[in-house]
Amino acid sequence: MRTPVSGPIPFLVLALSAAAFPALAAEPYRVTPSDLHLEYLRPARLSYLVYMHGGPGTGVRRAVLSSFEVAQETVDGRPAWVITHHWEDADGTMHTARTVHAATDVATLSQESTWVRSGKRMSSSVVPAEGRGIA
Amino acid sequence: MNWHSDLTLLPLLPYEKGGTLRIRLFDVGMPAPMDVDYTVLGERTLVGGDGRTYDCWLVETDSGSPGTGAFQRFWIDKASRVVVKEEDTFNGQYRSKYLLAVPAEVEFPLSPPANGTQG
Repeated sequence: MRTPVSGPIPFLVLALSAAAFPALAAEPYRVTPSDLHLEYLRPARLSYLVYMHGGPGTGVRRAVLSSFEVAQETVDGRPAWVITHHWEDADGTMHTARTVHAATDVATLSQESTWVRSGKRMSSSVVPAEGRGIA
Repeated sequence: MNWHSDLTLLPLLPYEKGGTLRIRLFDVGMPAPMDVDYTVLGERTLVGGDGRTYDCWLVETDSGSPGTGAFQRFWIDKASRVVVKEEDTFNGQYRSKYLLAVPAEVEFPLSPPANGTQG
């Protein structure tokens, strides 16, 4: 049977834990736009294979080819990064989106997107700075 | 930050600081922006089929839903700041995302059959 521990030992254990696992003990660091490594943004075209599964051997479901392009453009006179998504599943195009980010801090300037789910098409358009959004 | 652009923008976070990074995220359909924490769990090395080595940060988030058991994990290549692999739970299943070595683009579009029918 273990003897109940009292006194300074629990505090010592806590202190050692904090030292060994700073990620668990420390307060989260609040990321600001100036922290972002914008220098790594570059024009690119990328594709991801996306699918659902329950683990090895359980089968693959709802496979989606998710492609997007990152482009440097001037939008409404402002330098911007434009990300254009195109997702395709077994039935065809299921999602498209065009998101315009300010080059200075990647704030969202606008976003237009379309989803197709169960044969129904849904679209949205947002311009945060104008407080405008249509879905 | 726009959640919809996460595969492009999340790799830009200062993971070199380690620990947990908190960022305010928003996506269309959400009632309001929310704080989401991303914790650097450690480092991983992935080796591609072409032999290329990806030295990655392994980053985990509960997607702003602590206590639900939901998670999202990202393998972010340090050199390129590109997500090469992602795993999350979605509706009680895994959802996996893998970066393809080259973009999936058709260079030579399929020509329509000469007689107008498909075989």
